[in-house]
Amino acid sequence: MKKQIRFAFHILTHPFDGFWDMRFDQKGSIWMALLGYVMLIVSNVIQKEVTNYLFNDHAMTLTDIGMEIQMVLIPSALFCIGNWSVTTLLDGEGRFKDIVMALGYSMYPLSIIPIPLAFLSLAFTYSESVYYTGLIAISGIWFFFLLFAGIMTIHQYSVTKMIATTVLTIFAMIILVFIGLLFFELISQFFVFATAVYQELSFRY
Amino acid sequence: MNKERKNRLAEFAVKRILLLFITLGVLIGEKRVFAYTPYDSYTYSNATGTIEAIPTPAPYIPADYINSDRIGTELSRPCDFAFGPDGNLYVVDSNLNKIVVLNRDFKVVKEIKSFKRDSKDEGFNNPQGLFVDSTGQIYVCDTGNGRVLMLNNEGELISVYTKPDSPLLGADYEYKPVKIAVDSSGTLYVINTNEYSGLMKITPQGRFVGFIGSNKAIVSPVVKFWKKIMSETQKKQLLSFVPVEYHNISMDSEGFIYAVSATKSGENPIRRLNLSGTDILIRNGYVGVKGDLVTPKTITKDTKSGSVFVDICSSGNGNYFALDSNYGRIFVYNQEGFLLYVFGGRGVQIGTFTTPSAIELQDDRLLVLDEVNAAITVFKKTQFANLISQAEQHYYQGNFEQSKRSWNEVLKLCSTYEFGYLQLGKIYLQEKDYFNAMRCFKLGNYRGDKVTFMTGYNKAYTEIRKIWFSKYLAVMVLGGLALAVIVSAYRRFVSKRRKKQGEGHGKL
Repeated sequence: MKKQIRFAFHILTHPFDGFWDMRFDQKGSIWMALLGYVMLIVSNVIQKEVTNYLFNDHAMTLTDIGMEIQMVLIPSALFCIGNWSVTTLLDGEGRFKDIVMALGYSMYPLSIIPIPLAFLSLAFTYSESVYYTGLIAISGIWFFFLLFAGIMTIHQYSVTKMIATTVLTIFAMIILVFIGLLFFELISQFFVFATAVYQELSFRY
Repeated sequence: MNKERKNRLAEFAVKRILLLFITLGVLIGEKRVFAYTPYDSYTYSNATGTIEAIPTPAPYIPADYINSDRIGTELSRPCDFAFGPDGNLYVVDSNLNKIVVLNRDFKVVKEIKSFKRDSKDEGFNNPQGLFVDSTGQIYVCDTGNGRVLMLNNEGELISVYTKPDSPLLGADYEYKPVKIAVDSSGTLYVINTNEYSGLMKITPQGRFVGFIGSNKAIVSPVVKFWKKIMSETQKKQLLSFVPVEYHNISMDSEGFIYAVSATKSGENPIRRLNLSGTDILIRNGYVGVKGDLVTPKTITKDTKSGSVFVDICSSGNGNYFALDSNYGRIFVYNQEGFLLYVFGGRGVQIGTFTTPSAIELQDDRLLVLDEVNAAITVFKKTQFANLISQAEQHYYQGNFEQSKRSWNEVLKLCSTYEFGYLQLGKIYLQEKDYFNAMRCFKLGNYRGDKVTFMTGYNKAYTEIRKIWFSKYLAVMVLGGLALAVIVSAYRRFVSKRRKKQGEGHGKL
């Protein structure tokens, strides 16, 4: 356990090295990666609930935990599926599991900075707002850097190819959303039709 | 005995009847309060991150409906009206080409149909707007004749402003003034028909100074990019300025011009121009000074979204009332740019309008002119609006205690009225009651000024933090020291033990 935590921090500080070990030396674990997702959900909830009113746009609304879970899991799933679909075609070496793990490990900065910051913000006013926004920005940049490094390393891509696949991944995600909505719409139409037929029959007989 | 009883009975009956009459009298004479208005009243809030309409009690209720029958003379298509310094109301009718002067009870004082010019009788032709200055002189936009007429209070002609002779205006420039405002020095600000470059500023002598209040052209990066690709002819087709079509103007008590214009989204439909045409309107409110912000869920061909302002007027305390012709609503903002309330609507009931065209304020009465119905709807202030203006007045005069009382009354009538909480918070801040200030600013959705840090929740929070720090700084420092000592002691203890264990291993 201690080793796993140490490995997670190794990835945070030495992403290229760490993600290489994760992919090719079978270090790290899927559970530690999934912890990244869970921590992000927790972090989002804490940010909305705890953060000082001055920096919190959600202070006056109720936090919907179901919504928070969706807001993390749906984009993550879209990204993983989209990236996997693109990279399998473009000889990426990462498996689906590796993509999920890379994303999970990359999410650590989104929780290890904002969670303490949410509590720390209670001591901040607008005069210190630059620290708040700065730290939030750092966590975001760190996340994107880790994700970029992680995906690049597990697929063994060059930077140019990585950028190209990122664009394609975003495109794939949009297509996924479109297909998903289409499917959802079709299913709901079908249900409406089925209930209508049932109603018609039940009225008649 | 019997007689006495009869007497007593009679006395009793009389008393009863008297009592009955008194009760009836009280019941009939009772001043009834109607809660119902044919329109919704609301204000906007963005407390939850999205702009929402918050219902409020009706701030103004229709009190009277003045049409031709009530006035005693015919009105056909009244376009504009204005109050004179004598309290009379001057209504200009574009169809019957006359000006009707009404007294406070809306009875005709006189009608101006013609005037003598060079000992010849002349009349108006489709006059669209008028302005009455503080000395009672009447300026009329004689639109059809392409001139502005200056009449004295008796309706006698003083001067005529025809199309100004200026190289800025071409020879074929069409001069059809529709609305006018005049400042204290007699300078005319004229809105011309189909003029997109601003207000015409004309000196009392009739010299054209220039257009003021025009939009500044801001070239967006996208346009810059296209300009690089475009050919010369295409570039010429690009508009060199952003058009602004003013609908109406009005002079406020401080000598600034309130102007309403038809705008595309992103521009400001309501402006307060100084005499050189710079917009000085303060927009510190929760939402922009833009009228309607929430698009109705059912948009059909008839229901366009957004407001189209046709007139504006301001009260002495800096509030201004903008009249929207799209939904027939009246938006009331205070001088800080906070939307106080919205009321009015379109319809055929009294209190709603078909084609609202002008709005004026006299004391606490608000008058809205309906062009097609040829009628004036008189609104009177309710308790709710009265309390708000009292509270604001007390606040600006520095009577915080009274202001607080009034705001609390307002909040009793409408507990979701955010602006009330905001003002209460400001008062608490003045009184150094920081916890209450914080509570009120939070309910009032006012985090504070991000530039000066001098007000709002932020200020109250800063003050509380200051107090908290001065109270607990010693405890915190001592606690930190104690923690450091404990940690170092523990570390030393652990390392000692390890050493011991290590020694033990060595021995084994």
